[in-house]
Amino acid sequence: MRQNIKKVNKHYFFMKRGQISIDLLITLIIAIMVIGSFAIIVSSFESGQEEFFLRTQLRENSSTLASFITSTNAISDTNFTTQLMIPTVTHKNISKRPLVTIIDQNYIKLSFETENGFVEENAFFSKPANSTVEQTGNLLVVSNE
Amino acid sequence: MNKGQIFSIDFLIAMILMIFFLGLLLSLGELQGYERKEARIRYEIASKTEAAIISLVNSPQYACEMDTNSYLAYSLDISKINTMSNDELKKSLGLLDYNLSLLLDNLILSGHDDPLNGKNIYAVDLDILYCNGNISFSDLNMCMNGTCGTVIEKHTLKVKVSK
Repeated sequence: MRQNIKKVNKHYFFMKRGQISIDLLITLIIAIMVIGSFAIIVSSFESGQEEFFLRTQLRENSSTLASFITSTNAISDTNFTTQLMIPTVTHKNISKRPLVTIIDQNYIKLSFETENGFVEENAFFSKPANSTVEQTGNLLVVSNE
Repeated sequence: MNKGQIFSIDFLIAMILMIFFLGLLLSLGELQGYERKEARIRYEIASKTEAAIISLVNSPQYACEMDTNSYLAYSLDISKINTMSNDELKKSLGLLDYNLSLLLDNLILSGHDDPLNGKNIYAVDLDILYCNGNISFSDLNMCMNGTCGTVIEKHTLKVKVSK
């Protein structure tokens, strides 16, 4: 014990006044590196989760809209106009309505612009042969006239 | 601290605990994401199946046509279904990427029995009127009075969709 105290005293004996020990410096550098790498891991995880939740919302909404259009087959022998509000999508606490595109009269594509570009999801639908599907403002309108 | 010692035991314990809690936090996040994905798949299959069923038993494309030039709601004309392949039927019902099986009173409708290989299966039982070709109003009237003949019959349609 006494020997150890002697060693420690000897160690600090060689330090000049006001000098930070090399041990403390290394510890601080490693602590900063560890915290930095944790921050990178958490940030990349968070960004991955944000994109995942955005994709999930887009998939659910495109599926809802596709099911809505498919259901109109039941009244295809009548003249009708039916509409559904396009649901908003929340990404990083910002709620916005996605862009709606109808592809080949069989797919509905929802796109949402993020800082890394557009995130898109498609859903297949079947509509009555002579009907039209279009976006009018915030509404998706299916008409058979 | 001893001479030459870089880390104190306190610092090491703190780092280990930090890694442990970070790992716990990340795995909880992953778990939540997985549950959300499962819920989304269930929602998607349910909403697609319900839309397909509405189309199948109400659309003039598959419903029984009456002599009054109208179509019977919640009916299925087997002569119309038999002319279509299962792939055509799936495309027409908006179930392009899904497996579809149709059963009438638990008997498979031939040609419409995709193997249900998917992890998620959604099945719906529906009481319908079943016909083979056009029907007359008097046939329907007789059925409503309790004497359904061979032209129009009451059955339970089971629709199974999987992905």
